[in-house]
Amino acid sequence: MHATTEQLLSLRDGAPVAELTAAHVRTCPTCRQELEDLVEMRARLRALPEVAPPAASWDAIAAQLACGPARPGRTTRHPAWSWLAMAASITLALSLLWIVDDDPADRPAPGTTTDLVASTPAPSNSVQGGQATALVQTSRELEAALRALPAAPRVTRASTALTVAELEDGLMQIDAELNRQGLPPEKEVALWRQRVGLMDALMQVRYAELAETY
Amino acid sequence: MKAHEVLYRGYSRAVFTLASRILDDAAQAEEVLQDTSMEIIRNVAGFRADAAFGGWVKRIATNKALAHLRSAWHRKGRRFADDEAADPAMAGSVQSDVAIGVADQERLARALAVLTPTARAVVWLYDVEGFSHEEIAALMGKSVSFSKSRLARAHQKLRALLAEDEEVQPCMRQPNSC
Repeated sequence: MHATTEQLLSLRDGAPVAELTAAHVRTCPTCRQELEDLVEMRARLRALPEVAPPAASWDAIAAQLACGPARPGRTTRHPAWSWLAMAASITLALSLLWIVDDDPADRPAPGTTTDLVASTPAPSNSVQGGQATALVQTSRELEAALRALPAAPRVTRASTALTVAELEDGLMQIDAELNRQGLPPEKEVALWRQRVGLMDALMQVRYAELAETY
Repeated sequence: MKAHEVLYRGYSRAVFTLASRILDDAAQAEEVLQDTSMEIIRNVAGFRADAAFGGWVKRIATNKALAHLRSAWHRKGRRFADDEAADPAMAGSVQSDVAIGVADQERLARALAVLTPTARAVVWLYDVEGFSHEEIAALMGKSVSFSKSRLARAHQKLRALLAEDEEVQPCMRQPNSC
Protein backbone atom coordinates (compact mmCIF):
# COMPACT_ATOMS: atom_id res chain seq x y z
CA MET A 1 0.00 0.00 0.00
CA HIS A 2 1.37 3.39 -1.03
CA ALA A 3 2.16 6.14 1.45
CA THR A 4 -0.38 8.94 1.88
CA THR A 5 0.43 12.53 0.93
CA GLU A 6 0.48 13.39 4.62
CA GLN A 7 3.06 10.66 5.30
CA LEU A 8 5.15 11.76 2.33
CA LEU A 9 5.06 15.35 3.54
CA SER A 10 6.29 14.15 6.93
CA LEU A 11 9.13 12.32 5.21
CA ARG A 12 9.94 15.39 3.14
CA ASP A 13 10.10 17.59 6.23
CA GLY A 14 11.97 15.15 8.46
CA ALA A 15 9.01 14.51 10.75
CA PRO A 16 8.68 11.09 12.38
CA VAL A 17 7.14 8.41 10.16
CA ALA A 18 6.58 4.73 10.84
CA GLU A 19 9.61 2.70 9.76
CA LEU A 20 7.38 0.43 7.68
CA THR A 21 6.18 3.43 5.67
CA ALA A 22 9.68 4.85 5.27
CA ALA A 23 10.95 1.46 4.08
CA HIS A 24 8.15 1.23 1.53
CA VAL A 25 8.89 4.68 0.13
CA ARG A 26 12.57 3.79 -0.24
CA THR A 27 11.71 0.93 -2.57
CA CYS A 28 8.52 2.14 -4.28
CA PRO A 29 9.10 4.16 -7.49
CA THR A 30 5.59 5.67 -7.34
CA CYS A 31 5.99 6.95 -3.78
CA ARG A 32 9.52 8.14 -4.48
CA GLN A 33 8.27 10.10 -7.46
CA GLU A 34 5.49 11.65 -5.41
CA LEU A 35 7.97 12.57 -2.70
CA GLU A 36 10.17 14.26 -5.28
CA ASP A 37 7.14 16.11 -6.63
CA LEU A 38 6.38 17.41 -3.15
CA VAL A 39 9.94 18.65 -2.77
CA GLU A 40 9.75 20.31 -6.17
CA MET A 41 6.39 21.92 -5.43
CA ARG A 42 7.77 23.52 -2.29
CA ALA A 43 10.73 24.86 -4.26
CA ARG A 44 8.42 26.26 -6.92
CA LEU A 45 6.21 27.93 -4.34
CA ARG A 46 9.24 29.51 -2.71
CA ALA A 47 10.46 30.70 -6.09
CA LEU A 48 7.29 32.67 -6.79
CA PRO A 49 8.19 36.33 -7.16
CA GLU A 50 7.48 38.91 -4.49
CA VAL A 51 4.48 41.13 -5.03
CA ALA A 52 5.14 44.86 -4.81
CA PRO A 53 2.59 46.89 -2.86
CA PRO A 54 0.92 49.88 -4.55
CA ALA A 55 3.14 52.94 -4.52
CA ALA A 56 0.56 54.95 -2.59
CA SER A 57 0.39 52.52 0.34
CA TRP A 58 2.94 54.42 2.36
CA ASP A 59 1.05 57.69 1.84
CA ALA A 60 -2.02 56.19 3.53
CA ILE A 61 0.08 55.02 6.48
CA ALA A 62 1.83 58.38 6.78
CA ALA A 63 -1.55 60.09 6.74
CA GLN A 64 -2.75 57.86 9.57
CA LEU A 65 0.38 58.62 11.54
CA ALA A 66 0.06 62.34 10.98
CA CYS A 67 -3.66 62.53 11.71
CA GLY A 68 -3.76 60.21 14.69
CA PRO A 69 -7.14 58.47 14.67
CA ALA A 70 -7.78 55.33 12.68
CA ARG A 71 -9.64 55.50 9.39
CA PRO A 72 -13.40 55.99 9.52
CA GLY A 73 -15.31 52.77 9.99
CA ARG A 74 -12.38 50.95 11.50
CA THR A 75 -12.26 52.65 14.85
CA THR A 76 -13.80 49.68 16.61
CA ARG A 77 -10.74 47.58 15.84
CA HIS A 78 -8.35 50.21 17.19
CA PRO A 79 -10.45 52.22 19.63
CA ALA A 80 -7.55 54.10 21.17
CA TRP A 81 -3.92 54.63 20.41
CA SER A 82 -1.45 53.51 22.98
CA TRP A 83 1.09 55.98 24.25
CA LEU A 84 3.65 54.26 22.02
CA ALA A 85 1.57 55.06 18.98
CA MET A 86 1.41 58.63 20.10
CA ALA A 87 5.17 58.68 20.57
CA ALA A 88 5.64 57.25 17.08
CA SER A 89 3.41 59.98 15.70
CA ILE A 90 5.39 62.55 17.59
CA THR A 91 8.58 61.21 16.05
CA LEU A 92 7.20 61.61 12.57
CA ALA A 93 5.62 64.95 13.35
CA LEU A 94 8.92 66.23 14.71
CA SER A 95 10.63 65.09 11.54
CA LEU A 96 8.08 67.04 9.56
CA LEU A 97 8.68 70.05 11.74
CA TRP A 98 12.37 70.03 10.83
CA ILE A 99 11.47 70.03 7.17
CA VAL A 100 8.92 72.83 7.31
CA ASP A 101 11.17 74.85 9.64
CA ASP A 102 9.33 77.80 11.14
CA ASP A 103 7.23 79.13 8.30
CA PRO A 104 4.02 80.48 9.94
CA ALA A 105 1.99 79.08 7.04
CA ASP A 106 3.22 75.60 7.92
CA ARG A 107 2.48 75.77 11.63
CA PRO A 108 0.38 72.87 12.92
CA ALA A 109 -3.37 73.09 12.97
CA PRO A 110 -4.91 73.06 16.45
CA GLY A 111 -5.80 69.59 17.61
CA THR A 112 -3.45 67.72 15.27
CA THR A 113 -0.66 65.46 16.44
CA THR A 114 1.85 68.02 15.25
CA ASP A 115 0.14 70.57 17.39
CA LEU A 116 0.47 68.18 20.30
CA VAL A 117 4.24 68.30 19.90
CA ALA A 118 4.25 72.06 19.72
CA SER A 119 2.12 72.31 22.84
CA THR A 120 3.99 69.76 24.95
CA PRO A 121 4.02 71.25 28.44
CA ALA A 122 7.32 72.90 29.18
CA PRO A 123 9.14 72.35 32.46
CA SER A 124 8.94 75.23 34.83
CA ASN A 125 12.24 76.77 33.79
CA SER A 126 11.61 77.70 30.15
CA VAL A 127 9.96 77.03 26.81
CA GLN A 128 13.32 75.78 25.62
CA GLY A 129 13.09 73.09 28.28
CA GLY A 130 9.82 71.89 26.79
CA GLN A 131 11.43 71.49 23.41
CA ALA A 132 14.28 69.61 25.03
CA THR A 133 11.83 67.27 26.76
CA ALA A 134 10.18 66.39 23.48
CA LEU A 135 13.54 65.93 21.79
CA VAL A 136 14.81 63.71 24.59
CA GLN A 137 11.68 61.60 24.24
CA THR A 138 12.17 61.35 20.48
CA SER A 139 15.79 60.45 20.98
CA ARG A 140 14.75 57.64 23.34
CA GLU A 141 12.21 56.34 20.86
CA LEU A 142 14.81 56.23 18.12
CA GLU A 143 17.29 54.50 20.39
CA ALA A 144 14.71 51.86 21.24
CA ALA A 145 13.89 51.40 17.56
CA LEU A 146 17.57 51.06 16.74
CA ARG A 147 18.01 48.47 19.46
CA ALA A 148 15.04 46.59 18.06
CA LEU A 149 16.71 46.14 14.70
CA PRO A 150 18.34 42.80 14.00
CA ALA A 151 22.10 42.60 13.97
CA ALA A 152 23.91 44.02 10.98
CA PRO A 153 24.70 41.54 8.20
CA ARG A 154 28.11 39.92 8.40
CA VAL A 155 29.24 41.58 5.23
CA THR A 156 28.70 45.30 5.35
CA ARG A 157 29.62 47.62 2.54
CA ALA A 158 32.65 49.77 3.31
CA SER A 159 30.69 52.95 2.56
CA THR A 160 27.89 51.87 4.91
CA ALA A 161 30.34 50.98 7.66
CA LEU A 162 32.02 54.37 7.26
CA THR A 163 28.71 56.22 7.40
CA VAL A 164 27.64 54.34 10.51
CA ALA A 165 31.01 55.04 12.15
CA GLU A 166 30.78 58.75 11.33
CA LEU A 167 27.28 59.01 12.69
CA GLU A 168 28.22 57.18 15.86
CA ASP A 169 31.24 59.45 16.30
CA GLY A 170 28.95 62.44 15.94
CA LEU A 171 26.63 61.03 18.57
CA MET A 172 29.52 60.49 20.98
CA GLN A 173 30.65 64.08 20.56
CA ILE A 174 27.15 65.39 21.18
CA ASP A 175 26.75 63.19 24.24
CA ALA A 176 30.04 64.56 25.59
CA GLU A 177 28.74 68.10 25.05
CA LEU A 178 25.43 67.31 26.72
CA ASN A 179 27.25 65.98 29.79
CA ARG A 180 28.95 69.31 30.35
CA GLN A 181 27.78 71.27 33.40
CA GLY A 182 26.08 74.65 33.09
CA LEU A 183 24.96 74.24 29.49
CA PRO A 184 22.70 77.14 28.37
CA PRO A 185 19.14 75.91 27.70
CA GLU A 186 19.15 77.02 24.06
CA LYS A 187 22.46 75.22 23.47
CA GLU A 188 21.02 72.09 25.09
CA VAL A 189 17.98 72.17 22.80
CA ALA A 190 20.24 72.61 19.77
CA LEU A 191 22.35 69.64 20.82
CA TRP A 192 19.33 67.42 21.40
CA ARG A 193 17.99 68.45 18.02
CA GLN A 194 21.31 67.45 16.41
CA ARG A 195 21.30 64.19 18.34
CA VAL A 196 17.82 63.26 17.13
CA GLY A 197 18.83 64.18 13.58
CA LEU A 198 21.92 61.97 13.74
CA MET A 199 19.99 59.08 15.25
CA ASP A 200 17.37 59.41 12.57
CA ALA A 201 20.08 59.29 9.92
CA LEU A 202 21.69 56.29 11.63
CA MET A 203 18.36 54.49 11.66
CA GLN A 204 17.88 55.16 7.97
CA VAL A 205 21.30 53.74 7.16
CA ARG A 206 20.63 50.66 9.27
CA TYR A 207 17.20 50.09 7.75
CA ALA A 208 18.55 50.55 4.25
CA GLU A 209 21.24 48.01 5.09
CA LEU A 210 18.66 45.55 6.40
CA ALA A 211 16.30 46.17 3.52
CA GLU A 212 18.91 44.64 1.23
CA THR A 213 19.09 41.49 3.29
CA TYR A 214 15.49 41.04 4.48
CA MET B 1 12.84 59.69 3.73
CA LYS B 2 12.14 59.41 7.44
CA ALA B 3 12.75 56.54 9.79
CA HIS B 4 9.28 55.01 9.66
CA GLU B 5 9.24 55.11 5.90
CA VAL B 6 12.66 53.48 5.71
CA LEU B 7 11.36 50.80 8.06
CA TYR B 8 8.34 50.35 5.80
CA ARG B 9 10.53 50.02 2.70
CA GLY B 10 12.36 47.18 4.42
CA TYR B 11 9.37 44.93 5.08
CA SER B 12 6.55 46.12 2.81
CA ARG B 13 7.21 43.76 -0.11
CA ALA B 14 7.51 40.70 2.12
CA VAL B 15 4.34 41.58 4.03
CA PHE B 16 2.38 42.45 0.91
CA THR B 17 3.47 39.21 -0.76
CA LEU B 18 2.40 37.14 2.24
CA ALA B 19 -0.98 38.88 2.42
CA SER B 20 -1.54 38.73 -1.35
CA ARG B 21 -0.77 35.03 -1.54
CA ILE B 22 -2.99 34.16 1.42
CA LEU B 23 -5.92 36.43 0.60
CA ASP B 24 -5.66 36.56 -3.21
CA ASP B 25 -7.05 40.06 -3.04
CA ALA B 26 -4.88 43.13 -3.62
CA ALA B 27 -7.15 45.55 -1.77
CA GLN B 28 -7.29 43.37 1.33
CA ALA B 29 -3.57 42.72 1.13
CA GLU B 30 -2.97 46.47 1.15
CA GLU B 31 -5.18 46.77 4.20
CA VAL B 32 -3.13 44.06 5.92
CA LEU B 33 0.04 45.93 5.03
CA GLN B 34 -1.32 49.14 6.51
CA ASP B 35 -2.60 47.46 9.68
CA THR B 36 0.71 45.65 10.07
CA SER B 37 2.65 48.87 9.59
CA MET B 38 0.63 50.68 12.22
CA GLU B 39 1.20 47.86 14.70
CA ILE B 40 4.92 47.78 13.98
CA ILE B 41 5.25 51.53 14.44
CA ARG B 42 3.20 51.41 17.62
CA ASN B 43 5.22 48.61 19.16
CA VAL B 44 8.72 48.90 17.75
CA ALA B 45 9.89 50.66 20.91
CA GLY B 46 8.89 47.61 22.95
CA PHE B 47 10.42 45.12 20.56
CA ARG B 48 13.01 42.90 22.24
CA ALA B 49 16.41 43.28 20.64
CA ASP B 50 17.19 39.59 21.11
CA ALA B 51 14.22 38.48 19.00
CA ALA B 52 14.24 38.20 15.20
CA PHE B 53 12.83 41.35 13.64
CA GLY B 54 11.73 39.59 10.44
CA GLY B 55 9.94 36.88 12.40
CA TRP B 56 8.17 39.47 14.53
CA VAL B 57 6.95 41.35 11.44
CA LYS B 58 5.89 38.12 9.76
CA ARG B 59 3.86 37.04 12.75
CA ILE B 60 2.01 40.35 12.93
CA ALA B 61 1.27 40.25 9.19
CA THR B 62 0.10 36.63 9.38
CA ASN B 63 -2.27 37.40 12.22
CA LYS B 64 -3.71 40.33 10.29
CA ALA B 65 -4.11 38.28 7.10
CA LEU B 66 -5.79 35.41 8.94
CA ALA B 67 -8.11 37.87 10.66
CA HIS B 68 -9.15 39.05 7.19
CA LEU B 69 -9.61 35.45 6.13
CA ARG B 70 -11.93 34.86 9.07
CA SER B 71 -13.96 38.01 8.45
CA ALA B 72 -17.50 37.63 7.12
CA TRP B 73 -16.71 40.16 4.40
CA HIS B 74 -13.90 38.01 3.03
CA ARG B 75 -15.97 34.82 3.20
CA LYS B 76 -18.76 36.53 1.33
CA GLY B 77 -16.40 37.81 -1.32
CA ARG B 78 -14.69 34.44 -1.70
CA ARG B 79 -17.78 32.26 -1.68
CA PHE B 80 -18.03 32.00 -5.44
CA ALA B 81 -14.37 31.25 -5.86
CA ASP B 82 -14.66 28.42 -3.34
CA ASP B 83 -17.74 27.07 -5.10
CA GLU B 84 -15.90 27.16 -8.38
CA ALA B 85 -13.04 25.19 -6.92
CA ALA B 86 -15.48 22.57 -5.67
CA ASP B 87 -17.39 22.42 -8.95
CA PRO B 88 -15.48 20.38 -11.58
CA ALA B 89 -17.13 22.23 -14.45
CA MET B 90 -16.21 25.61 -13.08
CA ALA B 91 -12.77 24.38 -12.08
CA GLY B 92 -12.24 23.38 -15.69
CA SER B 93 -12.86 26.90 -16.84
CA VAL B 94 -10.38 28.22 -14.31
CA GLN B 95 -7.84 25.69 -15.51
CA SER B 96 -8.41 26.79 -19.07
CA ASP B 97 -7.52 30.27 -17.96
CA VAL B 98 -4.51 28.87 -16.17
CA ALA B 99 -3.50 27.05 -19.33
CA ILE B 100 -3.42 30.30 -21.25
CA GLY B 101 -0.63 31.51 -19.01
CA VAL B 102 2.77 30.81 -20.45
CA ALA B 103 5.05 31.22 -17.47
CA ASP B 104 5.34 28.40 -15.00
CA GLN B 105 5.21 30.80 -12.10
CA GLU B 106 2.05 32.38 -13.36
CA ARG B 107 0.39 29.00 -13.69
CA LEU B 108 1.39 28.07 -10.18
CA ALA B 109 0.16 31.39 -8.82
CA ARG B 110 -3.18 30.89 -10.54
CA ALA B 111 -3.46 27.33 -9.27
CA LEU B 112 -2.71 28.60 -5.79
CA ALA B 113 -5.50 31.13 -6.16
CA VAL B 114 -7.96 28.34 -7.02
CA LEU B 115 -7.42 26.63 -3.66
CA THR B 116 -9.82 27.35 -0.83
CA PRO B 117 -8.61 30.27 1.32
CA THR B 118 -7.76 28.03 4.26
CA ALA B 119 -5.82 25.53 2.15
CA ARG B 120 -3.98 28.39 0.47
CA ALA B 121 -3.10 29.94 3.81
CA VAL B 122 -1.83 26.64 5.24
CA VAL B 123 0.31 25.75 2.24
CA TRP B 124 1.77 29.25 2.04
CA LEU B 125 2.49 29.54 5.74
CA TYR B 126 3.99 26.06 5.98
CA ASP B 127 5.90 25.64 2.73
CA VAL B 128 6.98 29.21 2.08
CA GLU B 129 6.96 31.15 5.34
CA GLY B 130 8.28 28.27 7.38
CA PHE B 131 5.67 28.06 10.12
CA SER B 132 5.30 24.69 11.83
CA HIS B 133 2.01 22.81 12.00
CA GLU B 134 1.85 23.66 15.69
CA GLU B 135 2.23 27.36 14.95
CA ILE B 136 -0.35 27.29 12.16
CA ALA B 137 -2.78 25.42 14.40
CA ALA B 138 -2.34 28.06 17.11
CA LEU B 139 -2.71 30.95 14.66
CA MET B 140 -5.87 29.49 13.15
CA GLY B 141 -7.37 28.19 16.35
CA LYS B 142 -7.41 24.66 14.95
CA SER B 143 -5.69 21.36 15.66
CA VAL B 144 -2.31 20.20 14.37
CA SER B 145 -4.00 17.41 12.42
CA PHE B 146 -6.21 20.04 10.75
CA SER B 147 -3.10 21.84 9.52
CA LYS B 148 -1.50 18.60 8.31
CA SER B 149 -4.57 17.40 6.46
CA ARG B 150 -5.14 20.80 4.82
CA LEU B 151 -1.54 20.87 3.67
CA ALA B 152 -1.82 17.39 2.15
CA ARG B 153 -5.06 18.28 0.39
CA ALA B 154 -3.62 21.53 -0.87
CA HIS B 155 -0.70 19.67 -2.43
CA GLN B 156 -2.99 17.11 -4.02
CA LYS B 157 -5.12 19.88 -5.47
CA LEU B 158 -2.16 21.88 -6.73
CA ARG B 159 -0.67 18.83 -8.40
CA ALA B 160 -3.98 17.95 -10.04
CA LEU B 161 -4.51 21.50 -11.28
CA LEU B 162 -1.03 21.76 -12.74
CA ALA B 163 -1.19 18.28 -14.29
CA GLU B 164 -4.50 19.06 -16.01
CA ASP B 165 -3.09 22.38 -17.05
CA GLU B 166 -0.16 20.66 -18.73
CA GLU B 167 -2.55 18.38 -20.60
CA VAL B 168 -4.65 21.32 -21.80
CA GLN B 169 -1.75 23.57 -22.69
CA PRO B 170 -0.56 21.91 -25.95
CA CYS B 171 -4.06 22.26 -27.39
CA MET B 172 -4.16 25.90 -26.39
CA ARG B 173 -0.83 26.54 -28.03
CA GLN B 174 -1.76 24.77 -31.28
CA PRO B 175 -5.53 25.18 -31.65
CA ASN B 176 -5.50 23.96 -35.27
CA SER B 177 -4.09 20.59 -34.32
CA CYS B 178 -6.92 19.77 -31.87
